[in-house]
Amino acid sequence: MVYLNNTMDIKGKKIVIVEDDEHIAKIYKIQFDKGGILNFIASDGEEGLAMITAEKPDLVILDLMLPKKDGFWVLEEMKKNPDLSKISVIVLSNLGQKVDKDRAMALGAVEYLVKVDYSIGDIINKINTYLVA
Amino acid sequence: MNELEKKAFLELKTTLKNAEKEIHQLFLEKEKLAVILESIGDGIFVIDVNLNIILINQVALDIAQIDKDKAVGVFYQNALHFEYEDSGLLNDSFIKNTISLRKTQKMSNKSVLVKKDGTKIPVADSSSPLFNAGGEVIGVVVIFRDITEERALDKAKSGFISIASHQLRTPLTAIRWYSEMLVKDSEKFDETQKDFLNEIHQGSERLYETINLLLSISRIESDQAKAPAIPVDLYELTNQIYFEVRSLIDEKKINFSVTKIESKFIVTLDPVAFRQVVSNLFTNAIRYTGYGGKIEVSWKMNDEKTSVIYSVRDNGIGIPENQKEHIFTKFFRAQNAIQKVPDGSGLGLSLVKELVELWGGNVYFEGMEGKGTTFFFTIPVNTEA
Repeated sequence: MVYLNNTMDIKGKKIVIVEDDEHIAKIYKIQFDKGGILNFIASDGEEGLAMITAEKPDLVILDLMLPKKDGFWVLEEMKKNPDLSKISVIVLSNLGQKVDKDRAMALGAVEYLVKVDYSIGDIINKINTYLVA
Repeated sequence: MNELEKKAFLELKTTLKNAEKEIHQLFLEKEKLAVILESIGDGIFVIDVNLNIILINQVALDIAQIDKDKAVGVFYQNALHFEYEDSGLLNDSFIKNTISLRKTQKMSNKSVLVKKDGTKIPVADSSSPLFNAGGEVIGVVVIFRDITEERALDKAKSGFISIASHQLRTPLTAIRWYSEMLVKDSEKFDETQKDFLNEIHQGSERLYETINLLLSISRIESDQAKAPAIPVDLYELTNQIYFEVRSLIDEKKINFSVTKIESKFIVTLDPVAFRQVVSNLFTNAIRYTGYGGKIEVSWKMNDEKTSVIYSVRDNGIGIPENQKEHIFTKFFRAQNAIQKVPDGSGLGLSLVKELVELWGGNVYFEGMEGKGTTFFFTIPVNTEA
């Protein structure tokens, strides 16, 4: 059930998750809790940016279609802020169109994954590689 | 008046009477024609070989916002100016081709008519040659209609499908991921529970396929799917797709063969679209072919050397005669297909058709129920090496 390697490399690392669907956010939380990774969940773009600014995480998991401000806005704001612009952002969205992907990558996302196309095992493995790096 | 004069006079009278009748008849015909012309809901105009308008109906005048006296006798482009929507360049090829090829031509899908006030409206339709008794082209009849509302409707429909699919994907992601986590933990469950779990998982996979097909179709219909064409190696691409479905082929011990043709031609297309087309045809062939069946894939240049014809032949269940015309309709599934595989989406072949038509090809099939089916699609080639 748990996919994260509970190794020293990633234990204590910090992730901010910006995801408005509570059922999906809960899966991330279960996985990261078991992996010993500190995780913070925001459910809209504004809250997400505030959390990223306050926590300065090692990694951000970002959805795109969000209430208030969307994920593109979060990427834009992070890019503008030198304190945040170096933080890796993995976009995990269900928007599958090339225009959305191109836009997010141009705004500095390190990875763009369409949630429904991947197993949770593959998603966690992907996240793992960014946490170890 | 002598007898001879009398006879001549009578003949003349009859001739005149007949001529009068004919003129009256002609007049009636003309009236009839005018009434018919005006009662047609589409815009119609007729031009002579010098491209001047000789006849135009009110609908055409209304769509273009012009007066009849500014249209009849006028070079048609000065009254009815058609452009390509994308480039803004003059679109006169459909009329030119009608004259030179002596065949009915369809206007490009992306045509607009520039109205008198400069606004542009999307139009669709066709032009046909007029012949005289000697078989010479003496003019062209052009029929067109305003498709603004059709376009808006298409856009609304595609937008709806796109949003609905996205909204479906999110809960589906949750179902897939939670069931995946349970499946990984399934040693804790008894056989019945494992079976139920498996059913949930399979159901979510089916839903996943259906939503993806719907999204693909809606993208094509809203013109978001067109990717640049690049030169491809059909043999290599075919092999890659074969490897993706190989486990299904091996499972049913199907004899699968690809005939490699030494190609003297270069095929350019969008490889992603090609992959979707061929992958759907392969999956169908595998699904509807029995254990130990046979699938043959090959391609060749057509006789006119204008297209490559790609074919996928199976010796499976075939398509019933009375259902052949519906086979490319969205959500339609043939009766024997439903019996063999109850849970298909009925979207695969309609996606295939849309994709093939997008690159300018066409798709068709042959075969008989119980004897198998061969699907063909064409890829236009323009470069000869």
